[in-house]
Amino acid sequence: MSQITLSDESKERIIKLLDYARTISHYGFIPMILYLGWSSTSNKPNIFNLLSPFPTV
Amino acid sequence: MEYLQKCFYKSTGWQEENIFPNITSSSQSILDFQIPNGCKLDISSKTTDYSASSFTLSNYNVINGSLAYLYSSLPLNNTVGTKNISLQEAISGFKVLEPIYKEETMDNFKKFGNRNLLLYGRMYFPGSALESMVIKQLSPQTQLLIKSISNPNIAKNGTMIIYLQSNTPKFSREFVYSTNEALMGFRCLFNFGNTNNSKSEYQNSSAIIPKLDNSMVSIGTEVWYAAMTMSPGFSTAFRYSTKSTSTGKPLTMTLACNPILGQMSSTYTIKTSVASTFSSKYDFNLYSYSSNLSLGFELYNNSKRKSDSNDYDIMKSSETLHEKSLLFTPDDKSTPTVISSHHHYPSDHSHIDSHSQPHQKETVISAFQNLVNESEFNSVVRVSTSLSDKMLKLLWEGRFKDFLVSAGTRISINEFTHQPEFNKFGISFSYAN
Repeated sequence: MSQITLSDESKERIIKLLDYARTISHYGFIPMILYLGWSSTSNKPNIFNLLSPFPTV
Repeated sequence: MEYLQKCFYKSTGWQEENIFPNITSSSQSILDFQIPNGCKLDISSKTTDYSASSFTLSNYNVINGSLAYLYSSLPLNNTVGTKNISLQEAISGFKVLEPIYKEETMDNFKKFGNRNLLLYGRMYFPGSALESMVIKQLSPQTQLLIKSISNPNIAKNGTMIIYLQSNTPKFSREFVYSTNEALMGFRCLFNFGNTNNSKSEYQNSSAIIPKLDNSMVSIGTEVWYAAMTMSPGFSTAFRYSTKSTSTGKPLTMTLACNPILGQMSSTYTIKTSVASTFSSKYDFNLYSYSSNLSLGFELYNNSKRKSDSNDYDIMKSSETLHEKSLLFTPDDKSTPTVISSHHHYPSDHSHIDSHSQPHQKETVISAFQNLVNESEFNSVVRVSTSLSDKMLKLLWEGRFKDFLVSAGTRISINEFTHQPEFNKFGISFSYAN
């Protein structure tokens, strides 16, 4: 039975890639939520209105 | 934000009470309530129909804050700000359990379709830890729930828990996997009684058959296995919830036991009046013979009837109006006059003879329920004590202008000096619109 062997270099590359993916999902999650909220609203609110947690008059 | 999650569940027809971890939620909310830590300010607003944001500032140890955003694929129409929300809705207290009917869950499915999505992310400062939650509805009765915490500063960069839940009127199942120690779990809950009948069928048959529809019996169990440490876990629980036929007051009893640790715990919770609930819990360990009795109550005050002009009230009362509308004479609240709704009975039956036995039972129960639903309270006090822990917990929640304020403290007796001391004190303000 042949096993798939990975060289140290490619292992390192995969680890690095996963690390980048984690960082992107860590900081990209909230912007994604904001984008989805923005895109599903018909009147496309101002980005500041969307970001601000304080109630607008 | 928890409130918005609840609203999402309500829109998707998800029965939160029908899953195993919530089997003891009524007694837990009265005995093991959370006391705020330090001073906390929470401001939330609904930015659009599909998104909401929240900002929290607290000074527990150091000043820290968090910023949260939420997206829901369903419009958040049934939400109310802290200005108009009824206190019973805003805080989790005693929940009156009703048998679940198939019809209701299917109705919601037809209205909103499936594949609903809720995304929630909260970033904490300082430290930029991210807490996230994803709820994806896979079918009307199945949902996937993923919760995770991502923090670059802790080992393994955080943890993630995945729940695959299916929830039908008859039973609910849940598979849980946590990346922390590769913990796997299975939880299920089974409801006894006939849930296949639709609600309207049930009401028509109620005159003939003696009714057991007011009670609900559920049995649930959970099995855990942590693959990394090879440690198993197992516990089972039983819940009986009913409404008194003479007074209409709801009560819930639960019995939970964990055979591995030998822990048994029984609770009894009753809504003694419209404004008060009492709960007791007795814990006993089979191996160590240690026991603990906990008592707690919650008391609402400043009750007044809701004004009819309120939009929210109209929305809510339309549900109850579907069954029966009740009129109370101001002098005598205990004998409600019942006027049936026009959907079910012809007009000449508008005054039901209250002496007929099956109807009287229903009127007492629904009269009590309507009175609870229609009362509006200004504040609530919760007190809970535990005999072996020698502690007393107090929590006050109420309204101050447009804010919801909750303040609480925990007093316990010091083991060495035998002097009472304050362990915990906190106040939290929250505003939402």
